[in-house]
Amino acid sequence: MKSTSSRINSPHGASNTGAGAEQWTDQEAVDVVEACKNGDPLAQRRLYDASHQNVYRLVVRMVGVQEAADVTQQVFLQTFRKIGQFSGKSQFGTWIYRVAVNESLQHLRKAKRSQMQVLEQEPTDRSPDGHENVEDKELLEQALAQLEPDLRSTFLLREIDGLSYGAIASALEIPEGTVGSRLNRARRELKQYLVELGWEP
Amino acid sequence: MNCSKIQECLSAYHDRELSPDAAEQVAAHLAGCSTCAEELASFQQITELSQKLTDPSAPSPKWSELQTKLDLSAQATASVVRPLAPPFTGRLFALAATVLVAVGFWGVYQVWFPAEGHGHLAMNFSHYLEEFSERPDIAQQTLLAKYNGRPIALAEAAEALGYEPVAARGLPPGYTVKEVHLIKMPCCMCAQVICTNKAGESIAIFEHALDQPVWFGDRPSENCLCDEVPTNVRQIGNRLAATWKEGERHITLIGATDLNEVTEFVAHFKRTSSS
Repeated sequence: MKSTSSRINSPHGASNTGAGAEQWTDQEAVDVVEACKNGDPLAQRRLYDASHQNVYRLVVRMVGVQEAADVTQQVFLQTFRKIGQFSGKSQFGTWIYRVAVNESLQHLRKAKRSQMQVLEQEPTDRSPDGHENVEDKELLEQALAQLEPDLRSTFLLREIDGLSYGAIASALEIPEGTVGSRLNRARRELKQYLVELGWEP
Repeated sequence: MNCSKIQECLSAYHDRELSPDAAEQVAAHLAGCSTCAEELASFQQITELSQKLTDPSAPSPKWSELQTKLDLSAQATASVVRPLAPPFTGRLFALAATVLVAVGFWGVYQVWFPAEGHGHLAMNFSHYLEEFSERPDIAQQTLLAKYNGRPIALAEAAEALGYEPVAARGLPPGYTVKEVHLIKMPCCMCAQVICTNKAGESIAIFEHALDQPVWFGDRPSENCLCDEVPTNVRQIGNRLAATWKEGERHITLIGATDLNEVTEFVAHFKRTSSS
């Protein structure tokens, strides 16, 4: 990890809410990940606590609120099972996003195969915040749910988690050029869905 | 560059991912092309809208559940798996037997699965219980030897542990402390108290400092409220094991005669902890 500090699971620190994630120095993050590789339960607990909210935030918009908690648990199961494979070439935050996206996509494929109706309802916090654009936010959640999963994951990693194209490419295992073209499509389709939903920018 | 080329790299321009030269060319085009400029403006609007999204409120993290799954996963690869005892039955509430109570303890799992290496998070009492119900001395010796258990005065345990074990504030009337051990488990130092009831029967009590679950393996269990405290109860042989949370810690009582006895301990520790 090259920067001086990072959020373990939001390496570029650009989450627009900053909710709940523990701030670790890079050395702390490296130490915690190394301890997790050795099966240290306390380190696993720290990593889980620090990452849970950010993983859930991505997963809930990928699979819908009904399945999000279960899929999030599955993400961490896989994370701890496979953490020995994490080489340290990318940031750990990027790596755990890869696990989260893969688990979400796998869940969606299974759901599709079994003809399950995945409810992709907006997971918006409904507490009144006195903002006049609550409605617009809900429209965006609905529009996001209509995007195809590959576009949605790319868009979320960019706009919600603030990852660079390089980090997104690493997390999704796609070329950087594909990140840009997916974002083009995602934004155009989102705009179309939003307008259809009655959005007036 | 024509509109088609510009549109291909519009997101990269918007996200400031283009090289300075390429960005300059796009900017020059946008200055004279309202179509592309409008597209860029809509990207900007969507970004602004995205930034207003609130974090969905995640349900409480279920660390205990995850630990159990990780342990089950580890168990699947274990080289030694002992058969489990008969399932929990309706006789639960009418059992009379030697009483062994254990309060709060962590990590016995590794005593019985030493070949598995690391990765055991939840404390698995399953095999310790079986051994303890039949050969308590051997179970104790194995445990203490494995984790450098050492006897300690109850009054000194608080200093060694960094917290006062619930048993230090006294046991329910009629119970007497027989032995106290400090056991250095992989995660932390834990307390084990052996006490006797009015009939002179032994009870072992374990207490663990962290908010981590106690696991009895995949035995059938029942969740019930003992003095309004959620308690997980299992039948082990002809005795009961129960685990519940008291404050920040988990307490496990092993070998109780019946649910009334479990409830007696739950209520007593709740009362002494809050006083």
